Amino acid sequence: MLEIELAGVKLRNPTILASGVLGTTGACLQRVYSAGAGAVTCKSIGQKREGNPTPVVAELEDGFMNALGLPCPGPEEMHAELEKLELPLIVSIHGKSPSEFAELAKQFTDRAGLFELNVSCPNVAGDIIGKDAEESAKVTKAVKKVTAKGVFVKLTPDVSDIAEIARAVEKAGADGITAINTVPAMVIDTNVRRPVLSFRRGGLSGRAIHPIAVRCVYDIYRAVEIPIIGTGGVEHATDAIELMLAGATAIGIGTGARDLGVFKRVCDGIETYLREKGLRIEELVGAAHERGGGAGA
Amino acid sequence: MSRTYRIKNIVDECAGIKSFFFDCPGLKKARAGQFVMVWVPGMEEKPISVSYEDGITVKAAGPTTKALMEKRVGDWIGIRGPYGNGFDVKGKRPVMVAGGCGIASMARLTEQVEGKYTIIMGARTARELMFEKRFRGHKIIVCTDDGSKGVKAFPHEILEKLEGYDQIIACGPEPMVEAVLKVAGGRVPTQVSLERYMKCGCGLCGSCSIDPAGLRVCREGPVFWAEQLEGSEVGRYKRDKSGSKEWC
Repeated sequence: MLEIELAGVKLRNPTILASGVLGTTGACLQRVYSAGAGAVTCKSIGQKREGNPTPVVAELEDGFMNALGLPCPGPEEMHAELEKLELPLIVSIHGKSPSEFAELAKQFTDRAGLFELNVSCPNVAGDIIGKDAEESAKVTKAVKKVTAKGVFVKLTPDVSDIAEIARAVEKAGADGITAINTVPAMVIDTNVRRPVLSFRRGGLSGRAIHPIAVRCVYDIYRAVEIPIIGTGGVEHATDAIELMLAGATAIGIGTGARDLGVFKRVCDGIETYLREKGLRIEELVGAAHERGGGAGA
Repeated sequence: MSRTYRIKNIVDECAGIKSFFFDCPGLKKARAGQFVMVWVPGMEEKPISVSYEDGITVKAAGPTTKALMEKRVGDWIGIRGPYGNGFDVKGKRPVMVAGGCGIASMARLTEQVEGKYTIIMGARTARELMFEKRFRGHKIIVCTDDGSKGVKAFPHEILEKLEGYDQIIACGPEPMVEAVLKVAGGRVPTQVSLERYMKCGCGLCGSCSIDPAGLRVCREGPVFWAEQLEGSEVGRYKRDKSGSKEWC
């Protein structure tokens, strides 16, 4: 009842572990898959990096803020971590240039069920490729040249028009979009009068950003034909259904996966909903667009 | 929730080890074995086991804990948590094996959970032993690596000669934990507390997860039953800040 197809890859259900959560080792990824995810996305692979000094996470009332800063043991070690996995795997990669992305894609094309290009991490120094339509398109094109596997591009909400970026990467050959990455944010402690994270700013995630994710997916769905993995603040089935109604084919869960029971909970809830409404899962995708109100876009 | 708290009291426990006290709800509700993420503003954030209902016990190990040692009453420190799970006293005659800084968690356990405990307390040298007073009323066996106090032996060697216990609870450096697991050999229910490098400390990033089961030391741990650790990386390797394996 929950089987979907995502850019040619069949998944047992639409829930996907989002990149950056529990994705640094093969053992973790396997554990999340065994807990019921339809697919898992590994931590973004790039150059060997320690990441930012702690504190890298702040716990808020309705979400989290993180600035891990893309720690990675390096491509060779990550390749070894992923080697024994037999499950639908989305390999997330991160680089500073189209050629860096292409190099990583070449290295991991044997392991990937799909690729996800992390052009939107707000937690490292330097320009964020995902804020620029042309740069994002260049990276997409470079990766498409070196792999036959499906390529998703993960977008940042921190732009004036996310649909513009989505259109540009679709035109450049992207097979799908993941939306959204975290929302750039900051927490300042008023007792010590300084930001609580060592990177000062961080990416907001969790419940607080769910309505932002829904709106972004909605806008992207209107702009492109390729499928969307909707991510942002999913903890319950209704959050996932909302994203699907907005236009997502699959649902990314990151912060919510802190509780590994989330995948089964969300899937059971979607199944109940489909039965109650007498709908098939494909019918949910984008259904909110036909049933829009009068005013507003 | 992330918040800062004023240090309300500082106690010198022994050589290079101090306890810091706060009015912090997170500390108050913590179970022995749980930890909090402690932020020294301007420095880093480290996982530290709860030692008292209102305090943590810290040894100066790196730049952040060294900076903490310089703090005064009234200074602000970030505390979030408690995180992780606590110890479970299942047996009627448990034996506790506490090494080095692990002694603090064990002291909390004996204060929080009523019972008659046998405690094997070990340190490298007499200067580093602490909290003997907190264990008063229980049976204590003191040992030091150099024999400067108590028996000249490692804690697991004392455990090997003991009889009549129906649970083992251990907290201390990984070589000690590994040795205790070997001595326990599945004969009695055994719980050990592990340490791993942590970034988020709250179950999101996976930095502290152990192979091959992907158990998170900050969430499914730091206290584990021996069965959970069969065939694991304990005693063989840990992971560094980048996630690379560091062989023991």
